Amino acid sequence: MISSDCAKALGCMGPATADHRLHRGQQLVRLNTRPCYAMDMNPDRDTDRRELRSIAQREANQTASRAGLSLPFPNPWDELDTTKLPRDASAQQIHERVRRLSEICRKPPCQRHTL
Amino acid sequence: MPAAYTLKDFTSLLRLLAERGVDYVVIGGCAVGAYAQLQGEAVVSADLDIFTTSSALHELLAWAPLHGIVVVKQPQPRSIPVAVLEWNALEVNVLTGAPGLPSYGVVARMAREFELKEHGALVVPVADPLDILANKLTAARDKDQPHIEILRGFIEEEIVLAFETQRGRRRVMLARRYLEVLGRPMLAEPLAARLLPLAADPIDFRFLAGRVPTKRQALEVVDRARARGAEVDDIYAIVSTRTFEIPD
Repeated sequence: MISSDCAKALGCMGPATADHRLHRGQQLVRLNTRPCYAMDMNPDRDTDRRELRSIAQREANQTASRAGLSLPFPNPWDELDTTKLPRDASAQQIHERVRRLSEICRKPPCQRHTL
Repeated sequence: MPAAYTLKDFTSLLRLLAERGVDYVVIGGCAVGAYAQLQGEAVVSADLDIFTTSSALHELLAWAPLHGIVVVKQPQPRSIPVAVLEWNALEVNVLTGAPGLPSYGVVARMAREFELKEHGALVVPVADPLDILANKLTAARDKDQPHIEILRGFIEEEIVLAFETQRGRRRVMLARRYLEVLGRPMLAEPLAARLLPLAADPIDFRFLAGRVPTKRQALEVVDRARARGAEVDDIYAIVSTRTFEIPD
């Protein structure tokens, strides 16, 4: 078992208490998932630090963009969406992108019944 | 006695709409009748209800009179957004919104296709039974009660089938949506009793542990999970922190 000071230093919840177990159980019921303390998802935690980090990353991106360099903190979704277009894309390019995207994100097959 | 029709009585009109390329989904009594027929039961309706977008409705209202369809009532501001049409002396209600139904885009995406075999394999989009159930539960009229029973029966059979045949999250997805639509935290005891012997995956055990209505059934989930070699700590954590609808 780790002490609460040590837990704080490590950024984790520390030893489980009855309350923690109750919350964990309630979380499992609500989300029907395996337990996950998800500390980084807690909006009350380190908000200031995260905001400062985001602002710094955005500024670094803007500076790199102005200098015509690749972004130091690219959006990870851009790698997944291979159809992404520049801001000044033409209507034709946008049309082609929608067509390609609809091939990637195909509508699931519809359930069919016969009467 | 009110007139009683099924989806097949409106085949010619539905074919016209399909040929015209009108975006629509069948809802209401005829949709319930289609699901009832799959269960070997008969449900008839006094009219046909179709759900569409506002733009498709305006286009339809302009196009209908040219094809022998009488526009009996235009949608009125500040009232239920419905247009009433008359086709071959049959009433057709065209709605762009209905209580409990999600937006048209969602309903259309979840809709199922019914192939009318005896009518040239015409394919008719019919709203998902859960969407129709949500609509009927919200409307909560006396006449909807038999429809609700039919839909619940159909959906529960599909939930059991999903536990029998699907893999991963798909096993519990329908059951979860069903509870959301019903606004209930737990399964009814008979349905839980049918699902328990089918539970085989960790996702089944976690789902059932939080949603069976009795403690006896919850402990049965734990026993079954243990027997299947699943990790039972999480499942026991769920069981030990929840309340039960039916006391043992």
